Amino acid sequence: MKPIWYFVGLILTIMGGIILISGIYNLLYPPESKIVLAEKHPDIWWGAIMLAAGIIYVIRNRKITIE
Amino acid sequence: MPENAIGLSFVDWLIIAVYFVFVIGIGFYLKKFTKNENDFFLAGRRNSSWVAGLAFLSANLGALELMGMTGNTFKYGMYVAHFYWIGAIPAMLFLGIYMMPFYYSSRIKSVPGYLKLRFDEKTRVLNGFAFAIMTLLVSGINLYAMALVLHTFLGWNWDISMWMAAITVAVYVTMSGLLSAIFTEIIQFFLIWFGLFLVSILGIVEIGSVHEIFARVPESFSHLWSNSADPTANGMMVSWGGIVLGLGFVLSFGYWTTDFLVVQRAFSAKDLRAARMTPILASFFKMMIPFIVILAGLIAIVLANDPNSGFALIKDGGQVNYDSALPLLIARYYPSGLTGLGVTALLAGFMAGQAGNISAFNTVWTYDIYKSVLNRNASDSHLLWMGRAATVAGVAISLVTAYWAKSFPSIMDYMQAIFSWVNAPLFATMLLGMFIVWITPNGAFWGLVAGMGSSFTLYLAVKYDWINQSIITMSDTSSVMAANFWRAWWAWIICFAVTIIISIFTKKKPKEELVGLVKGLTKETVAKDAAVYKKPEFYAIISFIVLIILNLIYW
Repeated sequence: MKPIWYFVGLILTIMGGIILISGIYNLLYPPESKIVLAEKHPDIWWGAIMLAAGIIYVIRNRKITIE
Repeated sequence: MPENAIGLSFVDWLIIAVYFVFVIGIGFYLKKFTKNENDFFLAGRRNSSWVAGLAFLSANLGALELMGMTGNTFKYGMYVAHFYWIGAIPAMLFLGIYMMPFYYSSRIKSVPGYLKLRFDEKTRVLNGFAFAIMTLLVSGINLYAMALVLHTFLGWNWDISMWMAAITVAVYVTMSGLLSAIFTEIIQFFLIWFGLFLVSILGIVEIGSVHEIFARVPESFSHLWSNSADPTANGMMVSWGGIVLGLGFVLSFGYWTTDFLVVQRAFSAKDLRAARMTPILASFFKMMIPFIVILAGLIAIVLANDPNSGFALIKDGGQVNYDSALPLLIARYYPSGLTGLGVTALLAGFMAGQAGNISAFNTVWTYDIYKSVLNRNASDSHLLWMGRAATVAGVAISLVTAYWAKSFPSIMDYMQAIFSWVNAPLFATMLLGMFIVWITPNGAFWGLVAGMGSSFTLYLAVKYDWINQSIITMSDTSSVMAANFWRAWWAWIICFAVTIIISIFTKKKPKEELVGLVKGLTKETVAKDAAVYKKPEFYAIISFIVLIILNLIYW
């Protein structure tokens, strides 16, 4: 069985990727309703952090199986 | 849609959909590894201390707790951090160092199972029934609370929210039991940190610094101990005695050392060392949770006090809805995509909490009620079937309870009280049972009955004004929270005293039947020749030092 950390990595990768892409879209086409601190673009850097953490977990655990 | 509802974009829905597909997919994936009752009820006893430790913590980290504690910080200030520090860490360390060897080494499947070995069948069944009822009540009330939150903040339909969450949990817990519950709890842990910690970061960025946040909250809200001598000087209106005896000792030890919902995660560890490390590792992460909830609550206070911020908590019929603090901060700071992540973190918290309750219920029902009372000769394969049936039945009963709560919302007031009915007296029974040889089965049984009965009676007596609350809290000024702390203390004392008195006059169990169950009759399990850094005690001491430092910093 794959370790739980592999699945943690998968979900962080998928969600982080979606949030990063959404953040880039919001940067290129800014939405009409502004949130506080929108100029900091938290979706871009937070999405990137999630994506990076997810990829690390997936790579480190992709060949591991536990009995 | 309610006027305060947070709007969700396509990307937010996509994130939520990913979560649902993922947890159901994990249930299907793990089903082929769930071959016997040991896999279903104890996750195959193969988990490392990291997996068991994070699951141990996450089983307690529900969305109600996250939203409630952020709201409580808005209401009471820094004192809420006591729930995470003195109100959790000493008990978790005590469980890992002193109690786990008795639990784990006796190879029991549940906490009531220990009561059977140490005392007798009737004590086990009493606790089994009390725990099963408490778990299903809490599970149903949580389901209702989830639907309430989703309706209030997202405008979602009540029935669809409750049925979707309940069916999803039923599907993945039925397929692989504790194994899938633990997997989803760990995913929930990561989603909560990634989904909610950003609120605190952005709050600090907006206000300027952590120092600035503390400078702008009321003086009585920004300390942990320095204003605890006088209940009128702190936001929670409780003295240090109530915090230490009620919360720090009885409620905390009662919950963290005896509540099967959390202790079950440690039972899934691969060996005794991993089981002992489970609550010790969890204690480090528990100490970090205030950096999400307390900080967010303090940020909400600062913003609400600033007329230029445009931030105000929701009011329902003139009453401030404190639970709205966290969702409103998410709406304030999160763009589309991140909003979906924040909502998913809350959803994951609700559903993992539901799964935790159901997986604990199916074990206690199957072993401590069904096998113990109804069908003593049940085969292993029959018990596995019964565990799955109990999962479906547990979810169905939770749904009924949720609809009951919807038509009778004041049942929410009973939530805190439910814990002190069952857990506070049980801690006295466990403590005496594990550390004193001459405590008898009848002493334990009648002590538990007296403790549970007195806690329930005291609750009703205050609620219906039969007695004044000041008699329980020993103070003219006190809050509902203070009354909860003190009622737990009295229930514990009554159970402790009755157990000892009846044990003096009743028949004791032969010592040979207590080997491995009581200190003094059990071989020491400490590996004396192991390196210091490999010993659970080493990490427990570090955890305790961090606890002291945190309390001194925010004294």
